Amino acid sequence: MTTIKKFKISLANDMDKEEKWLTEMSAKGYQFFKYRWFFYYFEENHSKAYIYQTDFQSADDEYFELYNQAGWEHVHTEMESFHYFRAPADVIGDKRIYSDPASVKAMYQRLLTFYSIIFFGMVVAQAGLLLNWEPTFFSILSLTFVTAVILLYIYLFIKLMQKINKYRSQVY
Amino acid sequence: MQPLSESTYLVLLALAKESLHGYGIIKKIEEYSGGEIVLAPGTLYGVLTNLQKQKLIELVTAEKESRQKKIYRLSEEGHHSFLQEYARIKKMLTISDDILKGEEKA
Repeated sequence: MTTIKKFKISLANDMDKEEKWLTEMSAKGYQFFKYRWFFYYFEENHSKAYIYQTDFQSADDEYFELYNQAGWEHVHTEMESFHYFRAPADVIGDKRIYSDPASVKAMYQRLLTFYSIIFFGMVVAQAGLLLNWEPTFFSILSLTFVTAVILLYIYLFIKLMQKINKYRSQVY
Repeated sequence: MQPLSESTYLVLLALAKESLHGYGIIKKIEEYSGGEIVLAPGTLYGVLTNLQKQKLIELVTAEKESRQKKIYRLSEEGHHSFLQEYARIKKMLTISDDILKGEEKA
């Protein structure tokens, strides 16, 4: 069986785009089965077409059992909380892992909380850099890097909040 | 009290007369709706988590320690919330019927 890998950077706010991409790859005969350091691993199999779904949740046994019974095969888990599932497109039809906008909104809220905690942890850890500021080459390099990461997080927060608002407006 | 979300109401409804495990709740709603309403697993898991936090549902004691499937039942408060919501929906239906039948208020 042929395995291929593809490099792709996908931020947490684009989980819907990512699962769409994995589903499209599956239709072309490339079945996602593993993720590692920005590489997506696919198995070549043209006889299958899956719908892929990604969830963010602190999971337990009951969680995986529930998804399994509902027809979703667990494929991969990243950072203990990002779970990739798939189901044969012809069996699952138009069912997805969430059936109302309120629960999709709740998932994006969990993501926002998760990244906020990491962000504040990182800011606290790097505060020493500014407090003991000395304009050495290393300090400037670190500051540039930290600033880039902070900007990336701000971008992520804005995008996540947009997602939350989008799904909030659908809850009535 | 705020109206419950449709998914939350359906979970309380499924548990109104019997204790069930997670997938049993999905199946029951699916059967009674003639396959029209299928709660997705992610949605159900979220609702179960929330309802447990609010103490509206609880685990059936005998199953708690075992590695068996978790079985849920309504707490007393959960039963109360369900009845309240049921009455609200019923009232909405009555009002709807009255308006649609065009009954004039004296």
